[in-house]
Amino acid sequence: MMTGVLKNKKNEIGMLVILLVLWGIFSMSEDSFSTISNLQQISKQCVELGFMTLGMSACIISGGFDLSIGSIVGLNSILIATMLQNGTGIGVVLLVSAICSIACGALNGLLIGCLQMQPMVITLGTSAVFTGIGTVISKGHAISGLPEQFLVFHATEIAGLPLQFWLFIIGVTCFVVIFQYSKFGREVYLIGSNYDVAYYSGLPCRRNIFWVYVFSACTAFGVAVIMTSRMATGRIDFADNYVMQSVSAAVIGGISVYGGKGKIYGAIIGVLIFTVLSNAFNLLELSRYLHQIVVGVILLIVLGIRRKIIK
Amino acid sequence: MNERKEDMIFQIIKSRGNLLLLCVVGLGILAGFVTENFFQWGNIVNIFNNNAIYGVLGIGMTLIMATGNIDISVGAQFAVVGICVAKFSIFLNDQGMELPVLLALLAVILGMVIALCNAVLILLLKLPAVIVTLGTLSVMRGILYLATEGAWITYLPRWYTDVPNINFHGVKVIVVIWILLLILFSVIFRHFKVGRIILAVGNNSEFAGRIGIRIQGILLLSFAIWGALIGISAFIFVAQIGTIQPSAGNGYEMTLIASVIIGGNCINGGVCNVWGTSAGILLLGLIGNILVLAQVPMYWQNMLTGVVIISAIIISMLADKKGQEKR
Repeated sequence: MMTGVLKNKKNEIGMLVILLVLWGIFSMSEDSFSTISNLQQISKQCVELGFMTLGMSACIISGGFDLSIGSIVGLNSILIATMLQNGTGIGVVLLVSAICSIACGALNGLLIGCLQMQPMVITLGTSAVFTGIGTVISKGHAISGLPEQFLVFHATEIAGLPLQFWLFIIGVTCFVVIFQYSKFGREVYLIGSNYDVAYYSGLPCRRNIFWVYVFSACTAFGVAVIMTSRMATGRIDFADNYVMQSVSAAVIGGISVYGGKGKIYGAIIGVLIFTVLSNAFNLLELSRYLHQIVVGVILLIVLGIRRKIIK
Repeated sequence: MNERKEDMIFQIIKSRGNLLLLCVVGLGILAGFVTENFFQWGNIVNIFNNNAIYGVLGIGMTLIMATGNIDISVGAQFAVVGICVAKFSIFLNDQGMELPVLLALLAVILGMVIALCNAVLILLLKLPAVIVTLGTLSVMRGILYLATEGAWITYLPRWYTDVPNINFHGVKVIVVIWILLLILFSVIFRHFKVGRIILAVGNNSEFAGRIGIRIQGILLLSFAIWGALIGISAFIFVAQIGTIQPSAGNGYEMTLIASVIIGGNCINGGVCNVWGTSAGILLLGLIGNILVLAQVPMYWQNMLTGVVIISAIIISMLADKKGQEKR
């Protein structure tokens, strides 16, 4: 019984071991690493990458990719900041931005789901368009000077954890309910593992893929609100680094790039690994670029090892 | 008789390269009416000169995508080669040597080595090329920034920066390389066994393996050629600009993949239409040129280019689908 559970969760356990090992190394080399305030910091930092990984995982499970997720975040961040600066009410701003991100997702969904085009190429293209629209709105500047009421994600805490972490937990629960326990989610898994079979079994492939991309745009909306509020600025290139990291986190976490396989838990451990890494690199005052190298190396090594050992 | 004639016209238009060239010429004529300076020998040569780097890289990308792989670490490889070549040229200059040929050779070899690293990783890890090059992209960019600390490399020796200025009525040396490569590739892929084998591997690598093709060898070969092309273009690029920064080549993968798709190649491999790719690159370059001449503001340019790229991709993918259904 126990071994059966272990066998099923081999990948997640391996990831957990890596996380713990990293944790051990960093707590030994830096005293301030495992303090409570730093734990809170980590839980705050992991949310943005976490949300993006949720959206990215959904797309990868459906057999695609969403590289435009970062530019949707950028566009919405600019949109929110510009409107707030002009004195629009927060409710209206959130509504408009939500509509905008859903529209972006719907565009991706229409092209990829309904017209059945290559997800990677299409999202690369749409990301250029979204970034372009964002730069037209912002004229290339970062936008700051936002009203105080909007900056709730800066320092609000509930029960010792930052507000956005609770939102993230809600987001993960939604993801699990939608993609692991609902009919729609199971269909997405099947579509991802074999599109033709799913199509000939009479599943609504086009419609489901459309909604997957809308879902990923919704997570991007969440990231945009949280980041703009936390940083108190709107910028077009906020989330550019997170795109590749979210792909890496999802893939490391055991979500197969060929689609249709993998659970979100592993991906979240992947997110934690990357967050812990970047946090520790900050504390140890190591170069940001060294961090980038380590991320790439970890991605390749973990995938390579998994390929060899766990079959 | 009449029917046959229509058939021939259909054949010409059906070939994606010709269709795109038609678009390019059409756009050119349109641009000629809109702006005054378009129809000058200088401007037309300039369009070729400015896009030749993309052109050479595009040929390589077409080759890689013909084998069913994709390389999104182009920009990083380009920057690595560029930085190394720039440093080495300064080193040579300090030694009092003027050896552009040695420098070019170094660039080509370096490019080949880096691209082969990618290929070896793809083969060893047995992972899709997208993921592997994603990883190596992040590693290479990181190393670059770490090594240079984000600094630009400037003050390159004169004998090096003069290399790309060798020209014939304004047509620069890289354009000549581009055209030679175009001819070479289309001949190889039409008439030689190697070309057909590469296409076979791209089309269905399992079947290709069954009939006795060494898939790994073919992969290594194509990546080596790809690396050489990156090396050449980085060599010329650095000399043209005269400086190089570690963020050079950022976003190249987007333009290249877009032109390959627009050029009528299949993203899953098995097609190697270098003429189409080059025409696609010319089309994108021409649109950029027109936007500059029409004095569209910078921020709008980015957006319009994005819109043009995505609509071109959509149209060409829809057209490909139509073609497949007819078959």
